[in-house]
Amino acid sequence: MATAVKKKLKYAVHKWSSYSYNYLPENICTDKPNDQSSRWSSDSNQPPQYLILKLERPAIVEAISFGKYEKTHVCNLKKFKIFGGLGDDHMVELLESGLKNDHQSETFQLKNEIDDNHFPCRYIKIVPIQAWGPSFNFSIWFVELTGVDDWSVVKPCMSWYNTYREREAIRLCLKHFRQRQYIEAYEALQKKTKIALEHPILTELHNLLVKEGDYESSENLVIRACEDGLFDHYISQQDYKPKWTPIEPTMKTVDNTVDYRPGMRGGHQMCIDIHTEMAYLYGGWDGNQDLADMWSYHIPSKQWTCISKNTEEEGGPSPRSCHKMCLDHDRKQVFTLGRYLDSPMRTAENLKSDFYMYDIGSGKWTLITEDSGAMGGPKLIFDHQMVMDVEHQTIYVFGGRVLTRYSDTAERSSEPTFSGLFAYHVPTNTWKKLLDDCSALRSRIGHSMLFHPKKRVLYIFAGQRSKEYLNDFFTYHVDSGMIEVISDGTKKDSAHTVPAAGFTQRATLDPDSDEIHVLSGLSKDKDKRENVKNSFWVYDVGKINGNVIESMSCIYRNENSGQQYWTKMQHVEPVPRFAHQLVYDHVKKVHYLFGGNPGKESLPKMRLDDFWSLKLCRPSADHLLRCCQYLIRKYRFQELTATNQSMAMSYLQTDLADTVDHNDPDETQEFHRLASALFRGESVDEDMIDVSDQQLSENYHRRTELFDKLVSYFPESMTQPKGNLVDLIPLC
Amino acid sequence: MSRGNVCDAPQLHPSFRKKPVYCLDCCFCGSTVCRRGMKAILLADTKTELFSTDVPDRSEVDVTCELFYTDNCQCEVEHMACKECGNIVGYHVRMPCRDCLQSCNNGHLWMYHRKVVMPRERLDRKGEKIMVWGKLPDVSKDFTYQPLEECIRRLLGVAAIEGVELSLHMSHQLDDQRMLKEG
Repeated sequence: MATAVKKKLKYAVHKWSSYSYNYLPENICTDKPNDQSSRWSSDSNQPPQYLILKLERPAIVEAISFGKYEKTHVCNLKKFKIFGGLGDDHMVELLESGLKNDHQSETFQLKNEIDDNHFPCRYIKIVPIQAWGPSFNFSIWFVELTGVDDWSVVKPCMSWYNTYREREAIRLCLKHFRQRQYIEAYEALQKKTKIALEHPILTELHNLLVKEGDYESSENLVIRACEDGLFDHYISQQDYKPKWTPIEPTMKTVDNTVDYRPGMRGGHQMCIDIHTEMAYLYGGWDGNQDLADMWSYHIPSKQWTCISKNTEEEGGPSPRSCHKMCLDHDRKQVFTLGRYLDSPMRTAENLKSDFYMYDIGSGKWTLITEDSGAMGGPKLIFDHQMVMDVEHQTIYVFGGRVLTRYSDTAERSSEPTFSGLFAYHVPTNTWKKLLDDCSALRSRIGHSMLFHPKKRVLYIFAGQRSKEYLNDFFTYHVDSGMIEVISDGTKKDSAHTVPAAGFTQRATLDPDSDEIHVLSGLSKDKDKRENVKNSFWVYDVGKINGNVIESMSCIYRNENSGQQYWTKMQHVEPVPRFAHQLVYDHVKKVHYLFGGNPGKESLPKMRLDDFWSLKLCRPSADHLLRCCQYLIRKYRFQELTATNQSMAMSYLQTDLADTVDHNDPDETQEFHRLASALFRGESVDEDMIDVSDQQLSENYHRRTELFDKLVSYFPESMTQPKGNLVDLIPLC
Repeated sequence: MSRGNVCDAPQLHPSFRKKPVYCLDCCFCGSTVCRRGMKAILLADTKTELFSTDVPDRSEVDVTCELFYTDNCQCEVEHMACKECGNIVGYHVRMPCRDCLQSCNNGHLWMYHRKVVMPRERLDRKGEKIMVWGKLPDVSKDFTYQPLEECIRRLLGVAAIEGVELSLHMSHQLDDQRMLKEG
């Protein structure tokens, strides 16, 4: 496949839902962007609307391209789905996406693999879901399909696909026969085809549990499976749950003063040294003035230490806020650059961009330069981003707004200037401008930028540019200078799948698990503040592959905005805010959040000094195992109630009670319901020993249900097919 | 100025009452996009011909949700497109500016570009005379004309099939010339 020639695939329009006027379906075969009539247009936007294309030959379809009209058009497809298959009645979904409402053609990769094997398609179905104008018909100007239709390539895929389908069909039969106790048919089919329904360990579980009803051995088998790590895959697929904990620092009295923790502030900076488990906090705005105090926080002892009450007095930077800071954990150095100055405060002298380094070992500040702008670096900027490539001792600075003097009348009318991308090489003390603010790399403020030390890329996303809130996401490869756009943020339907733009998000990166974490907070923009939200997102950068939305999940969102609610919650979860700081210890997997601006209109000067840790938890293997045990025992109990109530009673009180998480209200409630079930049907005790056929079959059915539940925790490659044969029967 | 201005006093001015009512067809796909059109010109640029309407039929046209401002004034306007083919046939003044409100106008906020619609004079209920604005019922009561309209359209359709298409085009052209003189 890799060596096969990809080419344009010839197709004809095979079927269509409707068309209007002279906007015929076959118009999509020709690309005439300057002709408004060279398109297919449906005569309604009532679903289902579709076009089915038939390829000249079966092919591995790689991509679909949409040509457009030379201007924006309300009939462009904001949302669509693509299906494919060898017949026009059985197709699988290959893509769900949308087009931008512009004149540029767009290309989308199509799914063409199952279990690492390519599958061929003869028919491609395009299903419009929504047009840019919600009440308008759907139009497609031009469609091009690319892929491989070389028979020498397609043929093996075809035979693999047929084998695959055959095998899956047999496995579905096997599953069905076993579920329905057609044991002879099951055995005969298995013997004849030699196709395995599942991993032998699960067959063993089925024998023990469903056939024999040996709950105890089944439980032991599950325990063994858990110990062998068979549940690990399932756990890794589960969503994180956030756990916020307010940190009450250890009281420390120094010279009878109680200054044991940093005061209220926003616009400060924090960085973390994961090796020494120290966090550093510097500067900020307390509501009235800029600050110049520097603190360290020792994570294990929960102790803050004031390194300096005023760094300016020690040869360090003057009080400041909206600056940025980064840390070299190998050489124990902290760098700081940029600041915000109110316009009346700006003078020619203080508009220079001073650049400082703090040496943690010696406790000494060094002024690297009075003005990084004069060295070929950024001019004085604020709300930029700064990250460090520790291995190569290079600092990257991107974005931020350049401070200018308003006394310059020429400047007043002009657009604000945004700073580009710069690199500072520490050993040679040199600045290098990598890119100016340009369309390929649009500069901004209030964005997030993260450096992945293994992949050696910068992840840049979100932010604001004048009145525009940016919703894009792209990477910059530091070695090649290549920019890769992962999402340009124009898909407006993604409101629930990506964090809202313009929210003052804070982001961290975990280089080990390849995850980016985003905490979105309060919008700085008062008009946008009605939807105050805390929300936490996780991007799996390992999974990013041309579609960021697919690899992103919202861990939680809290849409409460009432003051009363947040007063009640003040010890449970941090109130939404902006101008706060979030740092991440990727070894211990803990986030730390400090201070910020809660954006209270009644108290505009209020800043916060609360300090939180955030852990993202997935269910542990032990937790999952307990759940399995609870399930097994619950089913055993239910089986017992039908035959022997007194045994069931004592089983409920001992074995079953042991596995219940009595802290979980749902589980406790269910447990109580189980107990009451015991006294509902009391007519079973006459023939305890002679279990009827019906009872046996009922047991088999219920145990199968339990088996299917347990199996869902095992990796899919080990289990019986998820689907059921009966579900494939159409109802009409 | 983006509003279609006619030098009438609003609503009940005598010259306004005598103006004919036009039906407008989209020139891209032929669908009827208006049954209550009034010929108008832009006050700011008398060469710009327009048709305007008081209340558009939302099953025929809709706005495209792209707001913009014109060079001439501060009115906030948005494109209006034919529901059938999605092509832009005019615009809607979403928020008229002070200048436009103060100058004389016909009170219509929905404008059709002359070049992309084909006008037909609308007939009265009996189908005898050309409907004028003074006799046009309020939009809430203006539903009786539709069956008649459909009837006329069907007749035109039959004519087209019988090879009289050319003369129909001619009548449109004549229409155009007459209107140019009026403008």
